[in-house]
Amino acid sequence: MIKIKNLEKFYEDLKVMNNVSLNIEKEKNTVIIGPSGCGKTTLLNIIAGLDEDYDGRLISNFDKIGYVFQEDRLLEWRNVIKNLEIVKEEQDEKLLNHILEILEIKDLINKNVTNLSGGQRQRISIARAFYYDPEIILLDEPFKSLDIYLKKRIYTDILKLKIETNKTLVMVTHDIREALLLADNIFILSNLPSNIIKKISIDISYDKRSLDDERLFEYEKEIYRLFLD
Amino acid sequence: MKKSFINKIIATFIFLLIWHFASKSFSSIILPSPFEVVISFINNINDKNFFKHIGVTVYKAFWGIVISFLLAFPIGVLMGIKKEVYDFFHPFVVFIQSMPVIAWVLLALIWFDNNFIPVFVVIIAVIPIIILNIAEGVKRVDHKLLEMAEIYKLSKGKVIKNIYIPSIAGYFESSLKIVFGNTFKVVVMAEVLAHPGMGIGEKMSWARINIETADLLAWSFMVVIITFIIMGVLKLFQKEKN
Repeated sequence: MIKIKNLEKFYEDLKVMNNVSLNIEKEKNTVIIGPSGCGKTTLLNIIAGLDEDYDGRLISNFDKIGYVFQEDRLLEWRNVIKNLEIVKEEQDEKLLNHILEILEIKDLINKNVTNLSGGQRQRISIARAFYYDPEIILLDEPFKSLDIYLKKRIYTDILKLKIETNKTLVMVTHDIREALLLADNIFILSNLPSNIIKKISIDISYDKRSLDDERLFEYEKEIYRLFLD
Repeated sequence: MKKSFINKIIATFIFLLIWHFASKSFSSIILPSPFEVVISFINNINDKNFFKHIGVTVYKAFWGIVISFLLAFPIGVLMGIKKEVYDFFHPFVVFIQSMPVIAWVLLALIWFDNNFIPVFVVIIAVIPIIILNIAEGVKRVDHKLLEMAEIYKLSKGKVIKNIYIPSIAGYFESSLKIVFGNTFKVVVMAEVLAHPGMGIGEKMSWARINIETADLLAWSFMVVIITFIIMGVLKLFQKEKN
């Protein structure tokens, strides 16, 4: 698991994080939600080890981390299969095929990345993270640039992969409904300088969740209220 | 494509026509007619040393380019990676680039053996272009891809092969085009002044001394043809790659 304690972060003179503390539980889906520009990506980068310029403590026993960035960050000059194989020293065909099947991108593997749509590219970026077979996968608003239909398809796929592989997932988003459908634990960040204003734990299995559900609707109202205060 | 080819033929024909009529108003020492130049060209080809002269010039240009790339590549890469190295080398590069090439030729006449002067001048003329292009290519490597590489713990070799080299390739290609476009002009200029004994520039210099204007133009066109051929080969390589 990951324990973050009293995290503080400055960008020059601007304090972006104030006393952020949270725990990320193993094999659970943690969603960090907050308004745009509240430092969600910064928090993920700190967890990933890409940003080491902060005060506070971060204890992690995850060594192998996968990251689905906001932009797909694929190598445009390599085809799909090369973009996936690059993260492994020894290829695992069985695992690769399984992931490709779930994400329905098997017929794309020999295509050039530049010829793919935004949704297809994002699915490949997700496949890359799962194929790396890490202990934890960080997702930075992976559906941000996608339309509502693609969004729904892709997070259904992510849930399928999650259920099968039982990975620990940490996702940041500003979409409350996305968070309610995917999370075991939701941490709500305030505006700058951000801190955690609430933790919500959802105890409904992913496949039984629907936005019509009374309990989810209550959570949704509660989060809205927190954002508006 | 076909239409643009026809346009080019028409443009060439009009140019030759204007030249032909203009040459009628001058003596052939001032402006020989296209036919005289063609005859000179054919005479040159029949000369047993024709290919030797071309060979010598191409050979010097080739070594100038090879040495330039060997020197420029590591410097350009380091300048792209480290700002301190960039700041250190940048004034030298700009100095070399800003000084007139003819000044370098004159200095080379004092410093070096006549045969090495054209090679030296090519190096001086093209090395700043290559260094700056490569440095720019390395600087522009997408740091987001490097972060991705860090996350997935890609080996140094993989990062160089899959991120650095493809990112620099475009800049490398554009520097190749400029280099090949410039090299033969420069190498011939150095030969004209250095008199190395063989080479296109040597022949042009003799044509000038003997006031054989048609011959001078015939050799000049030879330089244009060589540049065209090399640029054509370069284009072919690019097409093949894509």
